Amino acid sequence: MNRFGELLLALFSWCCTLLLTATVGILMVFLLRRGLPAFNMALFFGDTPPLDALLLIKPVFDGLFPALFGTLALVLVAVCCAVPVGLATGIYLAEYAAVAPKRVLNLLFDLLAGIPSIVVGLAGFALAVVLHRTFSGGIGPCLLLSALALAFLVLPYLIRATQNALEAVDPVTRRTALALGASKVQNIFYVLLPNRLADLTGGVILAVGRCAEDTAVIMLTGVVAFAGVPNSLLRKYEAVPFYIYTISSQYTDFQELQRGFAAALVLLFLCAALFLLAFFIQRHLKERLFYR
Amino acid sequence: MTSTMSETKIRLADFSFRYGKSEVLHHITAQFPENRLTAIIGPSGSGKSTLLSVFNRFWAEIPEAKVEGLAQLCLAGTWQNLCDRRAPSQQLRRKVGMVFQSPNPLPMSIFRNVAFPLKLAGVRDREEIAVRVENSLRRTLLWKEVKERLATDARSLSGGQQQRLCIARSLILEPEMLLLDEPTSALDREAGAGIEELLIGLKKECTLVLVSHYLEQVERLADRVFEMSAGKLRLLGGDRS
Repeated sequence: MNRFGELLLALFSWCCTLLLTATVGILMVFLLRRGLPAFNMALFFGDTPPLDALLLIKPVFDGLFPALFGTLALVLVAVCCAVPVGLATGIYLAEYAAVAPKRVLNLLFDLLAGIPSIVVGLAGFALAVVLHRTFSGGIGPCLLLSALALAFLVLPYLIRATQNALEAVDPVTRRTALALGASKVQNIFYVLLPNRLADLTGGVILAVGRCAEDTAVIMLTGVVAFAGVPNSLLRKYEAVPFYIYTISSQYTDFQELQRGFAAALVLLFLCAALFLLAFFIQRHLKERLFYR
Repeated sequence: MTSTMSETKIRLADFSFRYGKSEVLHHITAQFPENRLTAIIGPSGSGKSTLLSVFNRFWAEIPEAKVEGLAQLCLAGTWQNLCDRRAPSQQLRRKVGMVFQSPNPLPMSIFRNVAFPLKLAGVRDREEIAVRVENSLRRTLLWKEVKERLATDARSLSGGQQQRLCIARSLILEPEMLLLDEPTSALDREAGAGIEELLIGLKKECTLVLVSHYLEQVERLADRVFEMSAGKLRLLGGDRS
């Protein structure tokens, strides 16, 4: 490629990066301008005193608190279900699977990653119907079912993140522990996985983000507009993305729309907080595992 | 089976090694003496490192690798079959240390690097670990240089220091044998001389097998020299010890 071509490519790459950054910036400014005026205690707790709401003494009828609680619980349960399975499958694919089954499974997980979330939601709904019939109405759409459906949805990301992380370990590091007398399992858990913590955290962050924002799956598996703070995994619940969806499709006045924008900001901050938490856990773990 | 030749550490008889369909080592018969430094010289690609990988059964990690003939290693008076792919190799590798061509510190602190084999072996006593790490670093003349910064990343050390760290890590489990795959080739002359001095001291305590390209180095260090050429091993001169 000649000098002019190289310059053109560099300029194009730079413009694309700028465009993307500017778009995110504009979106943030737009959300802040529309949402910040509605950002107050009433947004979260309505007429209920905040302390009573936080201690679950009084229910919140007109605030975001139950939805925030529901989203946090949903993300926590879904990620806790998905991470061990995703890690184990990723380890199997990277370290144990023979060539032929690995090819088939890779194709299968790529297909799984491409399944639209509404289809996963429908599968969850079908399961809810079966469970409802089997247990005579005892179990139906609920937080647990939503979390399991979301866990299924994010599994391919976790599997791929783990597999890629392990396969990216350089051959020298890979053989060092084995030469020192490590078993294969010791090598995986003492050297390979800890060395790729940043990549694994990347996979978990992606999963958290997807669980927190997905609406299609939860709409069919347990979320409702008004349910209060869920006191059981087998109860229906509220969630922030569904709150935003409901307001954006049914708002009756400007104030209500403004609350929708504020809720979108809350969802963004919640995701950012969860990402930061994952990042700090990763740094703390790395420090603890390798340097203390 | 108890050893009948206490002075022999490794014996090979009609030993061959294949990667898939290509034979890399051809019908080798040789003996490696105990508590001596045996050197293997030869051109690149002649099979020197492959032969080393037999001595700690590392070849078994490669699915396409196949061995034939007899290869035995005497550990604590018992002959171990090196040709058995399915035999558990962890204990064997803890007694047969390996130092690679390029220093390979793990991405962790100096202390954790040296203590790592103890962790693998299930040693949990912190005091014991600290004492053994210090002893190991003293043996490789590294203690004075790193004692103030044991918690820093081992990869921040110089090349020579990293290689001595890797030797210290291999020595912490007090191996009976140390395999050295061109341990000075990635180092400058001064660092290489430091490693050579270390090896001279070590050969009183354990059996050393050194793969090297440098004839002068082999002359300075080795008690017995083999030449590897196109997968065939030939003894050059007798025991000089």
